[in-house]
Amino acid sequence: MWREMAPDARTEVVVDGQRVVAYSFGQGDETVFCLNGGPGLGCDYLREAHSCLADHGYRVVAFDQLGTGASDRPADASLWTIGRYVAETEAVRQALGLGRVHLLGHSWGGWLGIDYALAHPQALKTVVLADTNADMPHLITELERLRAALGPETVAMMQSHEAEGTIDHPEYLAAITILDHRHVCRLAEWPAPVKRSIEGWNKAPYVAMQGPNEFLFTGNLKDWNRVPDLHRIAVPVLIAVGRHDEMTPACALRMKLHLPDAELAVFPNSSHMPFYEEPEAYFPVLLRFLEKHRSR
Amino acid sequence: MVAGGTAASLAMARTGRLPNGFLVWDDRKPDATYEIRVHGHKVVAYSYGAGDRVLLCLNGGPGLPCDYLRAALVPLADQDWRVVIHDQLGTGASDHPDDPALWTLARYVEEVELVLEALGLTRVCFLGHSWGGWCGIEYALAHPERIAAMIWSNTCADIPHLRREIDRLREALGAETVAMMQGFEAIGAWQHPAYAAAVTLLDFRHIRRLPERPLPVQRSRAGFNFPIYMKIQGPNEYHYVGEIATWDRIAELGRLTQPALVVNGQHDVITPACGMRLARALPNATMAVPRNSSHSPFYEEPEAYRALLLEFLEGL
Repeated sequence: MWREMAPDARTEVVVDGQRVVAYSFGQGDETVFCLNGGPGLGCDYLREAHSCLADHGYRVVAFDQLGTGASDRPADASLWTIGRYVAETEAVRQALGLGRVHLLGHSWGGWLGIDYALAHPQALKTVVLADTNADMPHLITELERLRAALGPETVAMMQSHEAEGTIDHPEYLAAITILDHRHVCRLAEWPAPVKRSIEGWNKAPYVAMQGPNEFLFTGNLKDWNRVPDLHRIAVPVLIAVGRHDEMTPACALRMKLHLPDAELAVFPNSSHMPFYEEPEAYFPVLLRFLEKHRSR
Repeated sequence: MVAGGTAASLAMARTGRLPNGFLVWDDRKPDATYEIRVHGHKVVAYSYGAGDRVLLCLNGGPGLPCDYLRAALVPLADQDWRVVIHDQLGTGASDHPDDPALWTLARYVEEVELVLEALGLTRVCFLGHSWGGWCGIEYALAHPERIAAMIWSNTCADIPHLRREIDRLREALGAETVAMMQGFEAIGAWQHPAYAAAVTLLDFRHIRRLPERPLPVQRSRAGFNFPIYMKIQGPNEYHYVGEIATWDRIAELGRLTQPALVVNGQHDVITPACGMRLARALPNATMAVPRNSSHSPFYEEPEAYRALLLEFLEGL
């Protein structure tokens, strides 16, 4: 079960002249290397949710992706590409000497994890794809389905504001708020680490790569689709998804059907954050998977 | 949104005028202000214009200062009508006593009569908006001799029926949204961001279809006395738990034979069906449904609304 812990080590890694800060908990050769979502979020919410794996003999490493948290925040918009973040991830793994890792990517961290796994297959023991997807056009059709559940008048209102660029209007933001509490985190009170990550949100990489909110994809990843490449990820994969996840069970199934060695768990009372919404169900599934594939 | 689109709506919200110069709302000083003793407290009434043709106005809420309705009706003073309105007890310039026993429909009805007495008004045309309509209908049934004609704007006479209509409006947000709202209502968690967001969505759809609240609306909202609203109505426009929740005067409306105009916006939270139920129960009523309005037609379709009022009033 998650709890907030102080890291055993804090490491500054210089990547192409920019400072990136990594956090390490526990020790040993079995490293869970966490790639958090966003993009643009500090790693707090994913780090604090998974540092407890150190209690089970794992080393847990997370880092503030460039532009977030304690890392540098350059203003150069050309930095906000998934390819550069793949290179950054490899630089952090090398700098910390992590060897082969259990790569855990959540949401945007899953997209990053998929591209990383395709580029650096030798760096992996296993991959955990939590609340993520591999096919953005498919996700966008799924998001339209979730939006439609707010009724045709609400959808027309949202589309009008999106078309006119008035997405800061209170009625538009109200629709997003309802969807966030339904499909991003269903807890009545959002956990402190989630609030911290959101307070420090750097929207520049978010808007550049994803879009202005969780339900409108207009960034440079909107056509991203790795389904045709998933067969090249040969290591065992655990796919975790909430039943109410914005990155829906259908998105998760689509990944499973194209991965050679994947298992899939759906958490019935969760949306996008099962590690906070259903920790009693999530951690046994994750630990069982990691134990099964220790020291491969 | 007013004709002319977003820019015209925004300009109207801030200046009171449409691009063609039409005066939608006006913050001019009253020609007379009255301080009236009501149940031991001070109530302030405002009068614009002069003469025997009096339009006595009662605003919605309950618990809102009269600014939002006063500013929208004051231009009628330029058409040879005397416009009278007051800050209901607990709001605006009137006293704000801290006594929940004062927040009842019956006491607010008595307050209307005390205002009329103090101003020496024996017979008036009555305009009630929303809660001002409920209170006004109750007043008209108690003092029919005072009423020359009635304008029931964005209101109704049967709250149980209204509540069924509101359920229909809520359902348009989808079954999951309704379940979420009911869940938070069951535990009184009206402040939860998801619940508050659903109310915001409905407000922009069924209260005021404008990109920005006109300044007098902002003032009324800033002075909102929430405990009054909560005691009589409920925590928001879509959840009735106060004393008004079971109020129904349809069966008695046959006694009000004066000419009546009933106005409900096409998208009104108090729906056209509510308005029709009221209009059909009144022996001498006509009904109008501004097509691009919800609950605030005087701001949403100001020219059409003003024309409706004047056509009715001048036809008396």
